[in-house]
Amino acid sequence: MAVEAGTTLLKAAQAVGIAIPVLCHLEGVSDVGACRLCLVEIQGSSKLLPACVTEATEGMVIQTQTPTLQQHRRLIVELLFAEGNHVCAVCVANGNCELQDLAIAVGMDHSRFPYRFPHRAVDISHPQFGIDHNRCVLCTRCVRVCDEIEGAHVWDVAQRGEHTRVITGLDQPWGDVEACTRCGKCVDACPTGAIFRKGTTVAELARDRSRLEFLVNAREKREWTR
Amino acid sequence: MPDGEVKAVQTGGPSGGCIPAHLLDTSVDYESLVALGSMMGSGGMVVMDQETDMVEVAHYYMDFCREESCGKCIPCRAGTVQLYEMLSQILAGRATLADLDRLKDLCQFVKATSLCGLGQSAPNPVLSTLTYFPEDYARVCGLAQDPQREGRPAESVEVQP
Repeated sequence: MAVEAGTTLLKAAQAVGIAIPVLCHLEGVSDVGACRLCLVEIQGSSKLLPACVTEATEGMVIQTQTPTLQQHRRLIVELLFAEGNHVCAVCVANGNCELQDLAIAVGMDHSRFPYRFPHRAVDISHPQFGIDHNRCVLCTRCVRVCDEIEGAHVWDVAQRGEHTRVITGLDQPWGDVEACTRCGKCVDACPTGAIFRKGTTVAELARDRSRLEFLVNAREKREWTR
Repeated sequence: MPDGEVKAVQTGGPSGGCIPAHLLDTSVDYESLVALGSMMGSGGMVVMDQETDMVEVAHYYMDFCREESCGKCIPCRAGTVQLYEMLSQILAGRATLADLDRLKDLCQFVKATSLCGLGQSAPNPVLSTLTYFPEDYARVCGLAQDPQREGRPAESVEVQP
């Protein structure tokens, strides 16, 4: 197939209807290649490369669904489930969750790793929204959407390793962060139920991704239509 | 250290590997060390005597790598933590030889999928000690099957798919 120069492998695969699983990738914001779910095999390369940040080049032959890649993807999802406290039965995003969808897509019916049960906080200091760090998978979509689309840069990443977490402001309660414009783009961007609208209960979370797509489209193509 | 007392030489820092005594004639250059599953790193070396338990060495270095992981990519952030826990279980005598295969599989996964050099090399101390000192792992794992030994039987911690 032929694609425009600079097209990523992810976009090229999408163009021909091949789905590559993603978690940190979000249409409209920059890619970070962090979740490693979109790793693909490239003929002639011993390294697996992330499709979201690798550009297609002349004559490239890629494999997106080999047994090795499938095993890796399942392990990634297992590690995510073992790392946080993901309890679908009591989650706002139950039935509308990208982590849940991924688990189904990779065939992960249970985690072979012992659950870590980390002690994580919930911040509901904001008048409209809340963040439950137990459900956060550290995709950093909220960080990028707030910085790149809203331009407020309320979110950031603090600590390291297993202690990594997203923070608001200078690690203040979200409600105290004056930079927050209450636009709710982070709620729309979050793949799980970590960032939610207050008042939503189990399986009630609704996201409006079309709002993000509209803004990006308007900015990039000067098309102000929905 | 008197002749014959060297068990291993660890090169390349925490993400390097442990080279056994019978390979000590290897020249100190990038390619030779990588071929043995280690690396040059800063060029530093740690010489270990026969008293050293190589499982403890791997555990020690994995503790360092899990602390040093930046947390950006999942395989390194969560993988090094699980590797550390697996090694802790092995050291506590709560693992079986079958767990070594799981340990090796996770090592290879973290190596192949991590975003940067830290995660890609963090499993080296485990992989190199598994390759060159399997008897150290077998000794600790073998004890787990001894009913006289304190500690839970291995099946209570192992959940197979």
